[in-house]
Amino acid sequence: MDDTIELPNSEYIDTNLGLKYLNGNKALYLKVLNSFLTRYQNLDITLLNENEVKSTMHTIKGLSSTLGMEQLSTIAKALHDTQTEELTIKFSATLKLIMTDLNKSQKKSILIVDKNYNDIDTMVSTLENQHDLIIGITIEDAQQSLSEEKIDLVLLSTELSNLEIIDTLKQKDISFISLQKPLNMPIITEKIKNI
Amino acid sequence: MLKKIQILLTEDKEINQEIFIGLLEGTGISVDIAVNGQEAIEKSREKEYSLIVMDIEMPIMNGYEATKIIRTENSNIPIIALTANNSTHDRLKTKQLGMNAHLSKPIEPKILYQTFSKYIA
Repeated sequence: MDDTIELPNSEYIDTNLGLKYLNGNKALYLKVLNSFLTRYQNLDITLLNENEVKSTMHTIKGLSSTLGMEQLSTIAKALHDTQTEELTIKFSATLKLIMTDLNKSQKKSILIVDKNYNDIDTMVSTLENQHDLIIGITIEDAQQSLSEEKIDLVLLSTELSNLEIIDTLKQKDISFISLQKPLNMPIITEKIKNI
Repeated sequence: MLKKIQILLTEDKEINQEIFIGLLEGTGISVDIAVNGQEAIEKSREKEYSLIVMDIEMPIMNGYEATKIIRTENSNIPIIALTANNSTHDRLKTKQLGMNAHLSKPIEPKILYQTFSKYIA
């Protein structure tokens, strides 16, 4: 089951190193990366006073190193020791790049609209560890889910797709991927990652 | 029958608590949490722990101060520093205060497990 969990792809995150520190536990690693994203996504160190910067850098130094973010850890350590404008900029830029990469691999709420049970099974087993999934087997199901739930992305079978649902998705500004048959899961997961 | 092993983690940052608890999942060790030195002292009075893990930099009361007080009340309990302060000076200080071991962040899981098996009786 652990094999289906995909770790983020970022030149600022050495996932092998991070996994080592988390005892090879991919699910735990992903969970902590998500906490890191939530906790520090909106961090603006220019709004903090000197002591706050120092203590924040102290925490991030150890934490980012545990998560395999060596560059960020090195900058945090330097900024902990000496606060300069150059290091502040460097820190903010590196953190932003990491957050962008983490956001790409974030858990999404995905609505799958398809009437073929085998294909639904295939998609569920590939995606369920990484995302929240909602299934609709008719356009009416899909419309109902779209009106009731917060959906980030729709996987829409071309057999069911119609103008009405495409119009709803456009109005709600929700991205969708058309499912061509036979299903090609590697292409679908790649597309999901880039949305 | 196996006695349940209970340890006290003193750590103010939630995300570090999450990592620590995650690393001990499935080991049979249960973890109570104190978010600063003051709380660690109070909790160590209420319950008998097999071991205390102590972060150093924390609000209200840091790990050094807490260790001093816990040591005067309980000379036997293993207290293990877990900190990103890793200089020779820091290591010397934890030793002088009577802490049994000094683990650095990031935690090496293997070293964590070895240290625990050494100190948990």
